[in-house]
Amino acid sequence: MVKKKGRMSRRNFLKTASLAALGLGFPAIVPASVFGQGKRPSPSNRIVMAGIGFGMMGLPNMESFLSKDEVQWVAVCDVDKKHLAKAKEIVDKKYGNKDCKTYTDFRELFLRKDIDAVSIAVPDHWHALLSISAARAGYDIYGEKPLTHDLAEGRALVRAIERYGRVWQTGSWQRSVENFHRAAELVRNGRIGKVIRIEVGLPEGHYDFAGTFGRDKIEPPPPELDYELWLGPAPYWPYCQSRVHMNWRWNMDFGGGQLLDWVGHHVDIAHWGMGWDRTGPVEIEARGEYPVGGVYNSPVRYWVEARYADGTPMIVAGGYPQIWDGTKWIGEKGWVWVNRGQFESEPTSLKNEVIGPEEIRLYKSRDHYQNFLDCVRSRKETITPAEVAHRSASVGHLAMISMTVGRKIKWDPANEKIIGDPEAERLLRRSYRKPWVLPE
Amino acid sequence: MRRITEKKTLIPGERRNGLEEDILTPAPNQKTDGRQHMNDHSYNIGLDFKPERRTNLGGSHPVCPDGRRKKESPNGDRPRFNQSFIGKGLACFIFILVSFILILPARSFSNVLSLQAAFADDDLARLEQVLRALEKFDHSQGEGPALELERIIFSLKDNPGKRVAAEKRLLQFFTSEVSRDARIALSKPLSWIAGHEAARVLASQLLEPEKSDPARYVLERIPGEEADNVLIEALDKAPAAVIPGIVSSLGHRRAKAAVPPLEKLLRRNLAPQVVYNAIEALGNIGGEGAIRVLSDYLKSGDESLRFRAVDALLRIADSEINNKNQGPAAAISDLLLKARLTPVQKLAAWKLKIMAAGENYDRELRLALKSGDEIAGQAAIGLIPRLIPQNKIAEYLGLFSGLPGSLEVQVAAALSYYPVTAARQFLVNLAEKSLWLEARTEALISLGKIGDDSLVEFLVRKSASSRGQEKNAARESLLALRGKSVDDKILEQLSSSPEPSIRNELLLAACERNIRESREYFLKEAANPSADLALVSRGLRAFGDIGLAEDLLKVAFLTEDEAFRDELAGIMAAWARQSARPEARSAYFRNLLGKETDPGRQAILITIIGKIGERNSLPVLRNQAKSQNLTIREAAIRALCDWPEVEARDDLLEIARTSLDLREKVLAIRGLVRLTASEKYRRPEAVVESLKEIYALCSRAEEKKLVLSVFPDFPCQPALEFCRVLVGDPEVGLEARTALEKISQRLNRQN
Repeated sequence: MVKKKGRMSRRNFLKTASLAALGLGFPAIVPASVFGQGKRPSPSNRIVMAGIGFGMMGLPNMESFLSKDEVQWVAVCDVDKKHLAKAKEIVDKKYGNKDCKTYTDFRELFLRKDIDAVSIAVPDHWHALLSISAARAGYDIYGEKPLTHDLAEGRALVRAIERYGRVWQTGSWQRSVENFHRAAELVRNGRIGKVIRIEVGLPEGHYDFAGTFGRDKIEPPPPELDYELWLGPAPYWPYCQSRVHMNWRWNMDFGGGQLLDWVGHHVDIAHWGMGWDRTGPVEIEARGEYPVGGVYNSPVRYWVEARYADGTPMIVAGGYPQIWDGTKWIGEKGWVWVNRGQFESEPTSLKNEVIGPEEIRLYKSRDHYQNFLDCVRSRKETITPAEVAHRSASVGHLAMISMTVGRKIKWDPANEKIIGDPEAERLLRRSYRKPWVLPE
Repeated sequence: MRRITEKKTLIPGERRNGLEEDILTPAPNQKTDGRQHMNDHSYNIGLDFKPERRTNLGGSHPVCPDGRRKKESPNGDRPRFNQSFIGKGLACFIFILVSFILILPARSFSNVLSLQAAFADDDLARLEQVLRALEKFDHSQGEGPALELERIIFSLKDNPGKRVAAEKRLLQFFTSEVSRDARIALSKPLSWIAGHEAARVLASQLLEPEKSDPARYVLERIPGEEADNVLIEALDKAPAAVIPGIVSSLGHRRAKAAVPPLEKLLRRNLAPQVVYNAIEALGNIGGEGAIRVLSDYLKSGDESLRFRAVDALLRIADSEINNKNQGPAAAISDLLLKARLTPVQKLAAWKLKIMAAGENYDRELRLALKSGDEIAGQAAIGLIPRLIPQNKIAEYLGLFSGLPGSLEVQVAAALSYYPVTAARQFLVNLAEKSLWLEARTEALISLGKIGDDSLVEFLVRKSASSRGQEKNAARESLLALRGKSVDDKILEQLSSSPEPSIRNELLLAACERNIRESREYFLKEAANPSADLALVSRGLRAFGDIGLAEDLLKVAFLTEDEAFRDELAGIMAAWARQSARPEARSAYFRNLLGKETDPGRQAILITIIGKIGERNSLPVLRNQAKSQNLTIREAAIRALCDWPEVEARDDLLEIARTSLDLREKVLAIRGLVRLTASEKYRRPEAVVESLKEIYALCSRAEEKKLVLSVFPDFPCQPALEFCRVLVGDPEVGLEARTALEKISQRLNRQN
């Protein structure tokens, strides 16, 4: 028997305990628990958090966590001092003090032993390296989608999370929204019969998030930005405004265009409804249209045809009006379509059907951030663990490879290998600029 | 903000033929600026395109021939260069077509082959042209040349001859004096096609700081040992600045042959970055040699080295387990557990130790649970669902007794993967007796996940008797229990007249589980003076229908709670509105009203009729509004005030004008204001006239303020003037000023 004396602190418990990453199927139901209700937990019972990257999703993510009484935010980290100052200001304002520590280098932050969890919202090319480093440091992680920048990184990250027993939540928050849950549950319970085709509509083009389109002049990086660290493992590109904050997404060395930005949402939901959370397509063929001028090189319009082991095809398209934005499952007896704030079905009565007591119930979360915090305490899997995010991202990565080699590729989702196409196989992983190494 | 939608349309389907290619390819001697050239030609990645479907929808920043950015083309017009392109293309097409017609019939098969060779030359000519454009390339010029290069390489990659020629030319270009950006751009397509011959050419490039990274990018993707050898040889010759990159490439390639050279390097090079990268690379490579080298670092006094070495060994062990080589993994776990580890590393090492035992996990699992080490216990519990089959869990339950609270949470979660028959008693005990709130809560959650009807009573009792997160967990678990028998059990419990707190939990569960057969219990509960009215209302709304109206009316007639009576009226109205025949929705209640003599009951029926809002009922309400009985009259006026359509406006206006009863007058005015404010479809001036009319009927400041609050929703000059006049009014001056400001702002925005 384990002796009761000399028990470890909650902090050490959180940093070491885990039921996550068991490699098992999802539980039929894990009701959302209600931690954080009532009075604010005592400091020793709070989950201590830090954030990395505040140029885009980092701020809203942090603000959501700050609204939870059980969270104590202690540090912020960003390679841009302007972002850093803004993030610190928000935290300090929340707590009415000046205690939030700032870091420009994540390696210094990761030396801290008092942190339970980190929220990471950085450009895609940094996802794997930062997250693996965070797992090695013993932190649980709320990360953004797509899980990683290529397939090899994705598997490496999933393994690191498993190895160190960390809790991982992906920012694929649609799973915690009622209409997506309901749509997926209806499909999963066969309400539209056998699914014969899935259509996933994503955005097209490039969006000027930062208002820097056209600022393509090569110039020295601004003093507040550690550009060398911003580039990190990506190939060297000289600094220009239009390629850094927010709009990095349109360059394939830093992001994956609209396709990779959105597969983690609508393809993720498509997989959920089909029970494909831990697998991927067996064939994929994609074609894309690339920008004519400018500094971006990700496809602006794309058409992806994936086929899964049971023969079901899935179309993922951006810029094709015949494919509705969102996720549509078409079955032998009708269809279900879901998008943000929208939910339609054929027959229409399907929408109001109740899931019976004997039917499959999908993992339920009412609050994506709370689900993460609950799992940090219970050590269970979140609603979007790393493996699930890796599988939805795999559709985007494979599509990009297919676009590059210009042909259909065959994929072995169990062993994660491209079959019979050495050229395509070369594209499963990318190189890292020195001195960075991916610990695989 | 704006979107880029500018693009080239690439059509799927048949592969582009040589003829089309020729049309799209400018003559090799055509002197054009590189960027303009790029803009004159679509490029895609591995897909064919047809020029007639090429589109430019505007939005991006295409580059003009003079290098300036083109303005967006919001209407999606083609840029002018497309027109010139089409003209040239057409001329070229006609030329080739004529050539074909004249020459082809006279040509032999060998001549066709020569023609194909000419096309091959064209491909290489295009490559040449792009490379020329890339020589002084920097990324501010736009990605066109880089994308075009990628497209060309993949258009010829399936032709062995062309591929070799292209590879050779790319290597030549790579080694020449070109810009850094050009070399990096070129490294990508070169890495797709480069063979082992390229490895040797790139060897010297590896040693030059500016060329080393792009050379590595190519080498990392070349299959075979030659690339490994080139990288290994470079370790001895390379300047310090590039060694970390070369080391990381060896790790990337998992080059087994690199282990001894890396070991040698580590003996002579103590630069931190080299050592770090070598440790990480050895972790990727794995194998006996790597384990031996890394083991030495476990004793290092440098925490960062030790930290990396532990991670590298853990990764190697993971790979060994994946490859079914448990032996080396077990040896690593033993090694690690003797070293100084961080808590998370210790957890990983314990997990590894148990996993490395393979089929014999039982011994290690028990050892970990009995070790007295909480981290070992955590590792063991975390692995239980993965390792212990469902029929064996009972044998382990004894080991879970007396665990610290932190581990009880984990056990509770782990047991959710096992059948209720095995785990029920343990989880129920935990939920009842654990000193740790989180363990109790987690046990309840697990019971919900795996439980059956045998747990209904327990969970209901727990829901009724606990508080906070425990209560919520018990409720959620009651909802989560699966099976029709659970619903039956809930109904059975309801039928046994349980005490109120238990009954409420059962009714809540019935609501949440959508048990329609429970409606009679909700009806019964409605008559209970101490009932949870919100719950009753929810159940009746969800499961009731007009067939229950008679019974519910009895409750409504008897209750003295005015708010509850109003709620019941609302429920019955909602049931009535579900009728498929709109004109008959109120009929049942109108008939009853006709027969009823008690004014209180009449008032309730009038309220219901008002809430249904069926047009046929309006005359009835008008009639009742003139009743001599105060209760009936007030109910009728309230019903008119709540009327969903504006058709009740004249009735209310009349009451507001003529009633001598201030209470009725005020009700009518409020109803009028509500109805008038809803008329957004009318011209603002017309609505303002109506509001002025209502304002004139107001005798009290409260109603005047209410009317003034609506004016800003209809901004117009008359509204502005009306409010301006009232600004000096001591009674409503403040509200008039506020309204005035809002109207002004909205008018300004409109202008």
